[in-house]
Amino acid sequence: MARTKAISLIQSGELKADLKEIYGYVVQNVQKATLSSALKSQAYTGNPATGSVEFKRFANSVSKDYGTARAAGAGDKLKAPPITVNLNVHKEIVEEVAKFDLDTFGVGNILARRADNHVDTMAAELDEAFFNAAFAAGTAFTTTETDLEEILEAYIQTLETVKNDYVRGVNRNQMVMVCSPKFYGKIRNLLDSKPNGSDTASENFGMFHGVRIYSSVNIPTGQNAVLMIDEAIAQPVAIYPYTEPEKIPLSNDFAVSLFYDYGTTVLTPDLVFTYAETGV
Amino acid sequence: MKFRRKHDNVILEPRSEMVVEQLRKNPEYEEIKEDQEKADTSKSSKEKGDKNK
Repeated sequence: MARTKAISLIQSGELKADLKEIYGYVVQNVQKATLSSALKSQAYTGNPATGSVEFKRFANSVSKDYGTARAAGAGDKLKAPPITVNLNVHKEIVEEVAKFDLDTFGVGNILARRADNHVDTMAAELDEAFFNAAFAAGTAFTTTETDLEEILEAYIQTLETVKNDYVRGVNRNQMVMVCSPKFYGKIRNLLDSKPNGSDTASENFGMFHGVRIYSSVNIPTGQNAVLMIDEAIAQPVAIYPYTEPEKIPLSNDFAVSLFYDYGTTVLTPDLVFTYAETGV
Repeated sequence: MKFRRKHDNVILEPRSEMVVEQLRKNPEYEEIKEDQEKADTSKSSKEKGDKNK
């Protein structure tokens, strides 16, 4: 926008002079908190910088009648199929600016501000990849229930009652439900309508029937929520640490850059349930 | 491929082969055959149509 003109100060002819302008105020970039870094699995072996890491998942032991192993001459073998997660996405954020512009633009710490924004951008991308993987590999849940409270309880019980070679039920305190803001708002409204509902002034209601609930803007369009256990998804990231802004050779320009590699894999697809919008 | 939980009609649609295998072994779930699924869908849409009349 053009600068404000003076009322009676003339620059030349009838052209009024520009009034002074103060620089240095910058509209901050706004971003909702990301969740993937807190929810992802860290229990891997190996170093992400080598290009891949390995996770292992042991099958449950099986109880048999006394003497079975002696008769067979051997006990049961341990079943622990490895899951390799490749860091197969390679990303960069590179911005450059001329030294002259840096000195004369009037906004301080431009490069530091950009570096902070790069980290936010990376976090947002990792979050999106995390939830896209959950919706690509998780099991879609639907129910004939139409009451929100009943739907939520059936949804939670679906994860709670999983029984297979690796799982014998799931405690609710191990579960996390990440909702779209729309679906989160519906649960919030439901809780507000209860006589002893949670504090309606607060953004977070924290838990529903023992399950931690979060809202995320990175849930894919058309989906209500994903319900999973902690550490159901692996997302190793190799970040090449920032150094001082580097001078671009044969110029007076400076660059600030962030390079990172990552991979995202669902380790326990049997413990990830997705719920699409159904009009409820 | 879809599975129905017998006691409450929750429907699960796995996107992972591993989960399909596990649900097939789980007595609490039954697989919904494709032709059965089509029949259920046409039946429910017919019911909706009758209600609208």
